[in-house]
Amino acid sequence: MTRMAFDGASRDEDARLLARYADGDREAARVLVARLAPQALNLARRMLGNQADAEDVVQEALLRLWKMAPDWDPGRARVSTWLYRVVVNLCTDRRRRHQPVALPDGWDMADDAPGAAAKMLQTARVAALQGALDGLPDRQRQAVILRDIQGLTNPQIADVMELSVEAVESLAARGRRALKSALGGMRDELGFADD
Amino acid sequence: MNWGLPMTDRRKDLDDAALERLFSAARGSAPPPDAFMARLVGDALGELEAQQGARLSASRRTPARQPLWARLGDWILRGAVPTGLAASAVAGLWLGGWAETAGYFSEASVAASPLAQELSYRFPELAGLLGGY
Repeated sequence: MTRMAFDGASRDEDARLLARYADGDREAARVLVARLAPQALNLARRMLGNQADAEDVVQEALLRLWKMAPDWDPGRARVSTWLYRVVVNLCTDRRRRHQPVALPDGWDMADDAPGAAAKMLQTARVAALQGALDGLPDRQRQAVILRDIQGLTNPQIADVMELSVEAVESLAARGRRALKSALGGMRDELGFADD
Repeated sequence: MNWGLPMTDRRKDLDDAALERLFSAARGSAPPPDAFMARLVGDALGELEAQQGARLSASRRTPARQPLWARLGDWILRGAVPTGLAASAVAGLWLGGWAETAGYFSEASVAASPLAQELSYRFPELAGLLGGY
């Protein structure tokens, strides 16, 4: 899993790239898009369960980033944390406005999944997880996605969600319990019957 | 609590390892479509051009501030002409007053001088020229 834009070592790199962009460096824009967009899109996909809406949200969030680039204060927040926060908020707004549309099977699967059976199983697992995530309360869903799928640490999630680390731990733990309970009845379909 | 999903027996809950495998499957999503990435880069470059255009127009509207030495030079040059005229007028008045007081000339001597006579003779002609007659 790529975490280029979200690991500690890259903290200053995103801010440096953003400063270069604000100074007119077009290549910096391309690099920033490549570093930030895939992770942001994956987050929005999991939050919304819809590719088109997820793309709209990420496009809107990045547009806000470009607009504020000349006034960016590196001491305020990490670029990636700020972007995640905007994506989470935009997704929450969008979910409140309308319920996500049901997705076709395999809507977000990579093409190189090994073998047809394995691919079908993989598709079923992702679809089941997405369905269970959609059923969680907003804050639990956000905490679980940010930690268990996006791979952020609890302090990073606390920054994104503007909560204490303890609150994040509690939300993520409750979310995971709810997912395990909700998905327990699908063991056979998900290939966990023998576990 | 079941979040809209079928209620399951607690004993049949997924374990942590199985849940982690689901998360792992979700992490392996397809990469962003090329067209989408191109759209994002297009947005970034469009916004950059808009910002540069706005900065350019703002710099055209507001003339660049000159350095202090240049502003001081301008101020001195602008004040030199009126200051010089005023100083000349004051000096002329002072010299005239001093010469009259010292007895170098009088009202009558000025009136009788050839220059005064020439001026009085020529003045109507000059006035006519100036008036267009």
